[in-house]
Amino acid sequence: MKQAKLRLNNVSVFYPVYTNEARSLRNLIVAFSTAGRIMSAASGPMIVSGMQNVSITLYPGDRVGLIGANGAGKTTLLKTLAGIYQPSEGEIDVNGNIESLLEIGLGMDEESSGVQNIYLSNYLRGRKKSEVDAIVDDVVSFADIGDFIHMPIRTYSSGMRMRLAFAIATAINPDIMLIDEVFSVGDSSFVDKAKNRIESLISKANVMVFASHSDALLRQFCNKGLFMKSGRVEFFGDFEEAVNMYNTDANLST
Amino acid sequence: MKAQTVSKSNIPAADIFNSLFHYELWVRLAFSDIQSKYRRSFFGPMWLVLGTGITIGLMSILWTTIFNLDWRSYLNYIVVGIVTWTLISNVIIQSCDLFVREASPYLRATPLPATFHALRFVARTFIMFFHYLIIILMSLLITWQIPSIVGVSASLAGLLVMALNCYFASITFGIAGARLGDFSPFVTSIMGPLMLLTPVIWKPEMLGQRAIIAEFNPFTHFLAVVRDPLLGSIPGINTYITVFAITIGNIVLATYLYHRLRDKIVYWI
Repeated sequence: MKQAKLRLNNVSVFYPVYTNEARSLRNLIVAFSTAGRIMSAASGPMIVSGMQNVSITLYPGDRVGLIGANGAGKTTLLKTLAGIYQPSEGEIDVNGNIESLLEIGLGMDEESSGVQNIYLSNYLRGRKKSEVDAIVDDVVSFADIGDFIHMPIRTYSSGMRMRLAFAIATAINPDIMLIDEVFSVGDSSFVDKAKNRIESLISKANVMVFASHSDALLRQFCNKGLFMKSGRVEFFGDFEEAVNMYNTDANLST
Repeated sequence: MKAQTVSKSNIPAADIFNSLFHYELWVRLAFSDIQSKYRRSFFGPMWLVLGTGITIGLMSILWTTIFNLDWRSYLNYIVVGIVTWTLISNVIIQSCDLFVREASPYLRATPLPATFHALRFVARTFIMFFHYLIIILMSLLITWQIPSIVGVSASLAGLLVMALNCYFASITFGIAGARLGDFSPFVTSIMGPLMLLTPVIWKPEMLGQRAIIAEFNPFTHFLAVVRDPLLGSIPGINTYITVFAITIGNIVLATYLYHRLRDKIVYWI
């Protein structure tokens, strides 16, 4: 029996939404009926349920594709796994280092150079200077933006920015890797490079959870599928089966 | 290569102490904040120091002339007072928006605890404060009132207590500002009048019978533990007791609020 890397036991995440116009906003959201479920509290703030009673166990080698409509709870699940949201109910067991590619380019400073930004972004990921010294060359060579790496990043084109941010985000080999749609990176030659980089990261990581709307992309990397709807897990298992269930469900509702 | 090492603890209150141990990270980030702000300027933060220095200089000339005071003793009093008050006031005003603005993108995308961002902010504010020591030094030299070693040490100890209080206050104010939209404008609007009510540029004895206003103002005592030793008088025991009691209250309040509300902050911002 392999040891579980990640285990969610009946995890729910609820969040309150405070607003000056709670009532009117409440009506608005109910009228539009999103995929996420909104529970009305008798008084006080509106409570949004991001995900409900999720129980899954991931073992080494699991590469899970997260499938579901907008607002189905994919990002909530990733953020909960990443430790950004804490479960309102239930428990999470994590066994290993988690690295998340949820937001690219976070903590970048416009006035600092590319190299300085490599350091800053890594401090915000909890790495000391000595640890960053060890990966900085790799990041610089992967970003491949020439002498611009020593210029303030306000002078960068958006493509160069993406390259640098992507190189920083993917410079480590975590046990558990969480990815949220990050493949819109620059020109096509870089997209291939980025895919290769992700591929090698994934092959080294023990567990991966990857949310995307692209079946093709998920099929390339994942061996399991997790289909979410309205904050609940509808299906977790074989990847193709999950995709089929999602497609059937999407067709039924249109 | 190890992945993320700074993340929230299972016991929320433990974040407050764990974050302190990652001092290398938040100190570096704080320095970088200041560098980045002044990267395009040659004199950098010295411009602020120059502006403040001139303002305080003119103010003390004005006051000593109008009220016919001894400028030698008064200049130092007002210089240290304003510089220290600016530190207190910056921390209080800016920490109301700390989690909502500055820390918001990090809180929503990384597992770093809010306390880490509070430390980065307090460190940055203190680094800025240290630039102002030049004004204090100049003032002490101009008036040739050289403080004793004991005085300087007592002042530094006062500053350390102040730093501790700033850390915990920034957590409390940060949480209040994140939950209550009106909190930040409210605090900003009362800090001005509060400065007038605090003996920053006036001395309690100038109020005569009404000196009690100063006595009941907690800021009076925080100013005193930093300012008085530097100017050659050690504050009374009641000042130290007040500062100690407020520090304990501050720590307990911030720890309690953070422990109870940590997991909700991310939903408020």
